[in-house]
Amino acid sequence: MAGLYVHIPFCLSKCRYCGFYSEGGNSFIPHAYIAALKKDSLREAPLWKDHTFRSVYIGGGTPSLLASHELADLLNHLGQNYNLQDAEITVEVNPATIDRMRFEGYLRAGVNRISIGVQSLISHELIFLERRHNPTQARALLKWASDFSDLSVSADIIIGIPGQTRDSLTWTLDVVLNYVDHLSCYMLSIDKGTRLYRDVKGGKVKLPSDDQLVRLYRLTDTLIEEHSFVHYEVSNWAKPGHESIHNLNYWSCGEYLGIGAGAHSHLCGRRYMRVSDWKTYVDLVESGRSTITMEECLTDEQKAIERVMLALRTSHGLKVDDFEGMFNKHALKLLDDLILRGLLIKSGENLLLSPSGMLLECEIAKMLVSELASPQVLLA
Amino acid sequence: MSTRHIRNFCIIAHIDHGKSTLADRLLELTSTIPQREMRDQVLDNMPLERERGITIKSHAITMYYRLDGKLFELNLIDTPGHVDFTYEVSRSLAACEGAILLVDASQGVEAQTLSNLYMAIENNLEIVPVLNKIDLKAARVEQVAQQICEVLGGSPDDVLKVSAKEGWGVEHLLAELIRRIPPPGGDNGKPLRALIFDSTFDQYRGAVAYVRVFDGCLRTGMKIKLLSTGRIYEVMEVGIFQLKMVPRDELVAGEVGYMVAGIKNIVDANVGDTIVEADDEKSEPLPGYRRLKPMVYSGLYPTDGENFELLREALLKLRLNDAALSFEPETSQALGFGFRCGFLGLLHMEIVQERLEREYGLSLIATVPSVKYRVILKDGSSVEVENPASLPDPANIEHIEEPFVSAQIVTPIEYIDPLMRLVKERRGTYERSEILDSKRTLVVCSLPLAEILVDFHDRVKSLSKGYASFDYDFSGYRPSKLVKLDVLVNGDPVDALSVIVHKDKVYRWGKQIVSRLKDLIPRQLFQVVIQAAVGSRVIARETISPLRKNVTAKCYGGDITRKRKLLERQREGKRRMKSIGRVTIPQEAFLYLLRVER
Repeated sequence: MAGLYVHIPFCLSKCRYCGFYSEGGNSFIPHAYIAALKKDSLREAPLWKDHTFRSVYIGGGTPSLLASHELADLLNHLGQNYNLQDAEITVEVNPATIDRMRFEGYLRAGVNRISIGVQSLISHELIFLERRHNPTQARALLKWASDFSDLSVSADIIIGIPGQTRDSLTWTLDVVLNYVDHLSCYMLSIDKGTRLYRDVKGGKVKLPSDDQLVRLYRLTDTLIEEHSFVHYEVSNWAKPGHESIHNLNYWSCGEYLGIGAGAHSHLCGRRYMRVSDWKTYVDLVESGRSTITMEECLTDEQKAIERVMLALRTSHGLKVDDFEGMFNKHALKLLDDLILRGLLIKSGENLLLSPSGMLLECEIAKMLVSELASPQVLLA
Repeated sequence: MSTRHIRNFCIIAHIDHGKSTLADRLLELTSTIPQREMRDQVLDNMPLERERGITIKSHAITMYYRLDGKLFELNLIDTPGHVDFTYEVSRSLAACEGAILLVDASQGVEAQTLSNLYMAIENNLEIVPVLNKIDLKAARVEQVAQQICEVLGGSPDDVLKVSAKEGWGVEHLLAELIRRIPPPGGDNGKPLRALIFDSTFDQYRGAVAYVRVFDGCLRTGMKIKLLSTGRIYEVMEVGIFQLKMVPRDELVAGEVGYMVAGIKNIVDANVGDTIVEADDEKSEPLPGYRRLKPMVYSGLYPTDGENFELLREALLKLRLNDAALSFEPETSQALGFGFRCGFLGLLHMEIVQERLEREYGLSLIATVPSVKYRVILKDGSSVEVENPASLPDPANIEHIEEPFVSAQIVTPIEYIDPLMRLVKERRGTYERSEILDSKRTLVVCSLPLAEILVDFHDRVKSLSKGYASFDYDFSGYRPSKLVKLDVLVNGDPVDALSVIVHKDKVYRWGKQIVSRLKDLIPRQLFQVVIQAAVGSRVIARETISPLRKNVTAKCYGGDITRKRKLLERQREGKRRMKSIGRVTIPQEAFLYLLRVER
């Protein structure tokens, strides 16, 4: 079992808060890039011939800049070279870049799950984020999507936008929850190198306090769970059966192939990344050279760290059995302490973060990985 | 050489008043150093000395000069100019009959110069006042000459005027030196008595003692005794100082030179000790000998705990050459293994730290300097405490005494008010003042040594826009209302942060340290209470509210590596943290609180 990710690093314009590699100022995807994606995936296929892919995820950037025939062609190509058996096929969609025709074209191409970059349904919040769409476009797209009963619909929402209030967040969530079966709610992060980062540093933008963020996050959790969603990962909620297969694979240390500039892959204990500049990527593919720019073979200790940090994020949590041998003797005391403080919950054979614990996920992961047994013990 | 043709002298001067340049000119004029070996500040041979423009070790050099057809032997003893080395200075002065008082004609007399000048006068030295830098536009020749006369007495005409840089008046100065400074007394026929006025360490020959012979002769091959230890040695070599050491058969009464006698350890060649013949049971020691005692203490720790052994070796090597340096191992919760080192004063401390870092490549953390307290117990006994953590139980303490200094501040009159406010702030009291000239006053105050350890000198300078100068002498122990302040984190005391402070200052200190700690300790999963307490009485308190949020929103597009690497780094950071009870405190917090701000 594996996942297949395709990266489309192009956007109409760069959002103020976005710290990831993508090229703004594009209203379509360069042909050369699509050709390179196809060629690179063809080249990688032999390595993955024994894998069954349960998910394909077209992410970005803005993948909805792909015309429907381009997406159909790409998916067709992937289907011919990889074993995509009943795969979950997701495309990230930006409401500013899609009309009903393209949308229906995507569905005909085989897409069975869309992830809509709603972010907010309040005009001034979208303007603050420098998103290109408005609330009306987002609502229209949500409505079209909900017309298709076979389609899984997810929306991305941002918590902690300066100016966001309990009321405005409630409004956004109330509307969105009528149309979706999956929600990803991320707290606005301030990444170095973004315009937002500079504006925060320069005092132009005042961010909500940690306490405000904590309150908004709790509110989000309450509102979503009222609609019988399950909080199955720190930032993700789903109706039962609508959890993202693709993301669950990441969180369970599964194997995946990433195609495209800057895409990450994980195969046989090896993680690798492709060059992130798209032109370099195209040149490398065309000249028959490898697109891999970073690769590492994980040590047992690194694998253990990943297992802890990823498992902690999900509602499955860590298996109690893992504590036998994986951690040193201080770890049990730490666990008792965390349970006592209501940050960790013991549920059957599993240990998982409580809602307040999820907000401290990094801190708790840091404490737990500090108590991992020494590498010698891990090997034994 | 007959004692009638010997002159022994030193130069008393403030930093930058041109002492080294004058010495260079004297060496040139007397052709002591061949032209091709001449360079600037030839006597200061430690890199640190050349860089800072100060003299750390004493030096001596013998020059020969012909005047009116007669050949004279001139011994220049170059002394450290700083109070930390007062004792070495006093011994060097004891080896001389005269002193050049060198004053920058554009600057006037400074506090440091005065204290050394008074010491020279106490040692009955003939003072030859010299104004330097008369070539400068800003030179105030008449005024400064007048000022010198007010201190020394005499007429402004007796003050020599030179420019060491340009070489003006230096020849005349040489002649005047020979004329005014009396030849040494002493008798070659009497039993040997020689003074050790400094010493250095040579890894092949052991201690090299710098000596001044007062009576008798010091000869290669003879057996001698050091009076302070009673130990007997055979003299392997004697000689005089030129640019290098030049062996001679003997040193006679009145002469200055060096002695190598198989003394393995520099602490056995004590500055101030008297050399006599091995079988001499009658001779009295020369006056003024005392053992050096550290006045200022600081913990030195290697930044990287693994370098403890290196630090130990470096300190041992430094002590070979620096008998005044003392150290013993010490451990701290926060900083690990290190040494509590004792120094003669602040400059000595800085120099040792800098030499350790520069000559031994160590990176060091120095804790806030402290003094040695004398604790008088109820049973009448007393103990000396240099680390606040080792203060006895307050219930057993009768009272605590601390060292005081007499501080001399020379300042333009308009800065007296702010300077007196500073002195008062530092628990000082005014003692007396003396008007030096129409512009400047000497103010003498009594201050606790502990109060001038950190940034007092800088404050004096900044309050007076750089015009005031400051110097101090140790004046003895006096009782003070001192208490020990402990810092507690969630109820657990943090040993490295305990301090002994005056009762009147304890609240401010407590408040300050607690609020700084509040900013330095990261939020934890639980509330952290920081308290400052005197005994069981809490005098300041802050709380750090628990951490509520630390979460990565998203693992983007399968980029697991980035988050794992962050976690690996954080884990390393966590390993460097110190745990006080359940609270983890980054080492940087301790460094920040303990480091001496320079």
